[in-house]
Amino acid sequence: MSVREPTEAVWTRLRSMQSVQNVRSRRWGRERGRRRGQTTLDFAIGMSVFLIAVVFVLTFAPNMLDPFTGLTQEKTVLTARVADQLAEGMLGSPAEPYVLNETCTLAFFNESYNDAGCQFSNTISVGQRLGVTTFDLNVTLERDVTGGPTTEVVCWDESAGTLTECTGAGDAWPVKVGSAPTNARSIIVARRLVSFGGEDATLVVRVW
Amino acid sequence: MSASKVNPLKRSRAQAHTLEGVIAALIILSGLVFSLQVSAVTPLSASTSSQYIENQQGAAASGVLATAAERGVLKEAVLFWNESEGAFHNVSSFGYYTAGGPPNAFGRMLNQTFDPRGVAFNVYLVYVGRDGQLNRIRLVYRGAPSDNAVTATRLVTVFDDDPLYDHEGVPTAVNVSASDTLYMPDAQPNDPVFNLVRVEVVAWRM
Repeated sequence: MSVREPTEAVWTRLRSMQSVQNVRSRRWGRERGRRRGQTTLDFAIGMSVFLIAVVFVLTFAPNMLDPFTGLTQEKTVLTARVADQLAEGMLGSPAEPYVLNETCTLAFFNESYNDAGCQFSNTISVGQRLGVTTFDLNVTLERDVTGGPTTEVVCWDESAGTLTECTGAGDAWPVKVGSAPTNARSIIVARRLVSFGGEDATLVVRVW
Repeated sequence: MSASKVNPLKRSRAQAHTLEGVIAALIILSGLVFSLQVSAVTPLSASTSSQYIENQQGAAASGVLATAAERGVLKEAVLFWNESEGAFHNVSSFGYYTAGGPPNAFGRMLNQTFDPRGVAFNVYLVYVGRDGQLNRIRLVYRGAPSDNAVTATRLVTVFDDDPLYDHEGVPTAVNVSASDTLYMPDAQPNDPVFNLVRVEVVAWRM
């Protein structure tokens, strides 16, 4: 049978079928009628998959470059080095790591103490003592005094000669040195368990 | 062209749409795969197996052992033996502690250092056996360590006149040489040295 040009009657029939098609597509499609094989649900699923992929790629783009810029990794290695240097030699003796010398430790945290015989000079800044010039750091001696999950900075009571909780009473001074941490950047923390005056304490080094 | 109206039932461009859809999906997928492959994971990347965390746990374990030895509580933990029962004080039925450190000062130090950080630890005691071989027993066992565990060790010398400790940490009247049920024998019968114990602390992130 040869292909003929549709007659008028056929066109009327086709148009009515098209209107039927419009009615059917009104349920899922727009009023004007769609002849694409895609419903709204298909579009929603496809678009959400696409958006998730795009958001994922954009979110992890900075992390892709992180090992190559090396800033976080440099701070991490630096913090570990500083903590090891302090706990294993500078504040005590390298022959007995993690055991702190009382006089040298107090001289490190407070300039008013005499630093004779210690391996550093407490007249220069903390960063210069430790060889850290490009970052800010903060060194504290902490202990769990409140019984909670974290440790808090302890105070040194000169008259009693012990580490006590920081209540602000008397002339006990908090055992910390360095600048105050800011909230702007990420802070790398290193903790070492040390023995100070026969009791254990935690030496915390923060670098940002 | 004689046909003025396109037959609406004949969809002549359907194939092109499908091909475009397939190519678009391929482009998105290749972008995703590229970004995943380009992201480099180094030993210092932030993860539970980062080298920095291992260093920190190793230093913490060394610090605990050094501080405990300095305070004298390490020997107390090694000799925390219940002579009448032939086991450590308040130990589980396995013969080793499973719910954390032992109930003495050393155990408290271990718990304070590791438990708040979500770090699990095992403690082993290695001593010289009767035949001269090294024997190893568990003091604290909390499961098989992961692949990124670190170990710190410390040697404790036990002398013949060292006393056993009771459950409160008070030395008893029984010396190690007079004990019948102690886990380690007298490796040097003619010497004041009783035995050498190597305390191993294995720590890993849970």
